[in-house]
Amino acid sequence: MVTKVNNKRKEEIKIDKNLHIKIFESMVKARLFEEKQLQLYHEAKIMGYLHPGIGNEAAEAGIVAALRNDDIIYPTHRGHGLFAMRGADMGKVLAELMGRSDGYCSGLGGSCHLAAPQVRQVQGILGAQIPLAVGEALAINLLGEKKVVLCTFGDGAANNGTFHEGLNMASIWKLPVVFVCVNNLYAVAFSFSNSTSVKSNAIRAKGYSMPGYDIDGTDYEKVYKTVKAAADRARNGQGPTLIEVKTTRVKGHHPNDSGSYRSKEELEAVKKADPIKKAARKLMRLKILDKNKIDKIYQKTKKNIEDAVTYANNSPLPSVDEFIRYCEQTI
Amino acid sequence: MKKINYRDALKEALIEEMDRDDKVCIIGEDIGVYGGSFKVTLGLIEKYGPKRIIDTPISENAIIGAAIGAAMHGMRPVAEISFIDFITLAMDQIVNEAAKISAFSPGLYKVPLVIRTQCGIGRGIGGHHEQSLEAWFVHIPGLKVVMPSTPYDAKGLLKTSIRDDEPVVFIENKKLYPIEGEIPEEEYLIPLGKADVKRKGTDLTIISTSFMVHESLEAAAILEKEGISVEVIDPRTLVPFDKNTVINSVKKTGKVLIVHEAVKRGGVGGEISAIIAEEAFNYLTSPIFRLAAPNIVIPYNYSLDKYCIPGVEDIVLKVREILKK
Repeated sequence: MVTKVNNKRKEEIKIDKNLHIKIFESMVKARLFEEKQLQLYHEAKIMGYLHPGIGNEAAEAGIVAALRNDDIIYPTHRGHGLFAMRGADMGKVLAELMGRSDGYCSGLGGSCHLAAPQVRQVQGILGAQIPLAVGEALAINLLGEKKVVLCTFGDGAANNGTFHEGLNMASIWKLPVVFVCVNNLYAVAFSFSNSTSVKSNAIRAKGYSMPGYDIDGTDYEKVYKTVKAAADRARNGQGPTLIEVKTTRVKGHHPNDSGSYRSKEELEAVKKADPIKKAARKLMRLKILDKNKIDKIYQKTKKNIEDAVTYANNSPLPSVDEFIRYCEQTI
Repeated sequence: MKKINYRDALKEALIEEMDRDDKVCIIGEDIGVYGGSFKVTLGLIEKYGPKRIIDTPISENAIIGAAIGAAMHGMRPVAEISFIDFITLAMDQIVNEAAKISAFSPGLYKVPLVIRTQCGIGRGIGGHHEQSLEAWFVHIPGLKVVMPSTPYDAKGLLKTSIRDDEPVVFIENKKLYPIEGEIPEEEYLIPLGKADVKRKGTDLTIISTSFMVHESLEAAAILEKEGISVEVIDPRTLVPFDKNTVINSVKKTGKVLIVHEAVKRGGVGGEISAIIAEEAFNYLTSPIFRLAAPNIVIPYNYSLDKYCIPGVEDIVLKVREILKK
């Protein structure tokens, strides 16, 4: 059974007006940044793969807001919203996706291996990040630090053996990890209901003696409160938590995937569940933002993204000499 | 100098490095109270406690993954995979994560990790516990591969491997643990990428690895009585590989025999012979020969071991054949 959200604990965690705005701004930033990435991909400026994460913004913004700056986040391959939300320089992220030498990884990481000081490296092998996160949490305990590791992975990766090995280890050692399964209901084209033995990965938490929460990943407030409580718990030495956030995959698996395996009705429902529209409606209802203020957020973000594009466009491709120098460092 | 066996030499290296640097920790299956399958870590849990000597469930992929994560967080873990045969379960973390994390993000993340494991026939436990799989790791850019044959090399190379900032696959051999040798009383390190000429000679060069170094030395002693002077080179580290020592020897002898315990097909012997052919062809006075395991699955039945790996007699016969004596 999924652990029931402790309402009392949830009530204690509040979101003030500024945090509401901050989270909304970071959702808009991720969305517009990703839309720009898609455009650059279709213009053949982004090299290699790209896996749009449009639809994950509320989940990711809630996660980022719930953690401290010195906590550690492991990303998935899908969408690079976490990087922008966590304050990574969008110019350096774009430069990386475009294979430019001013990218965070000197143009050698790209989308499938993107890394920055603010967010750990994307693993092109899905689910490979789970044991890595466990190991960082082990080091945190050994060094006596008070940090938390938050490890995201998709519903597809949750069926990999790393999930079982990693969650068991984190549980027996009571490590400060928050596992977040970002469930967009598809592993490439294989639907969650066909791929997975349970209705929610949160149910699997019971097998690892840790709390499991199944929450609406299009509701940033629920994500924020649940992750915050789990992070506090981890920081207090009470061990790991598994949270499944159900999101929507607005786009295909990759930019050229038309999604022919999804019904029209489903795609309509996905559009309606757009987390950003949902957040905007809520913030207007709460009178925290109005249309004018929202427009300003969009305008400001667009300007920042254009600056990032200019920065990336102006950055050169790495020279072969530069590449060989890096290779020699690693044999 | 003092006499010590291979097992204790490894333990001394671990103790010295753990005393020197509190970021060094050991992680693996039954390495604590049980002391590891070959007792290399016996007693360390009493000395350093369960925080630094970390017993794990049977989860090879997560052992290596957790060690990588800890390494990225500033630790210097020594992960133990008790039999190299079990390393198949951790190949993703070794090949796709450990070997590639720093290459994908130069300057951002490093993986200072040592994976200690052991290979080889010798206990009648068959093909799930006795394979020699070093060639797999030699094939992967981003990994260093160390294969020491003596207590002296084992200690010096393990200490250097622990201090290295890149992942190192450190492969021992179950037949080596009781072998004794001399090591200095004082601390010493051996650089990676430096072969050792274990015996000087002029007629033929044997390049051998791990336990086969001892078989080759014994063969060389027998051949000496017949007036045949054999040079025995132990590369010690397969990556980086010390080409110069090998090529200089070939220039002198013109004849080469490569000996290893792993299967011949796709083994490191092929790589070494290709290096010699490419870089010292004009010095060769005969073809390059290899002695290695036949292409068979290792049986548990140790009465057949003699057929499964090369031994002293095979080496002696092969050298006589090459020299037509």
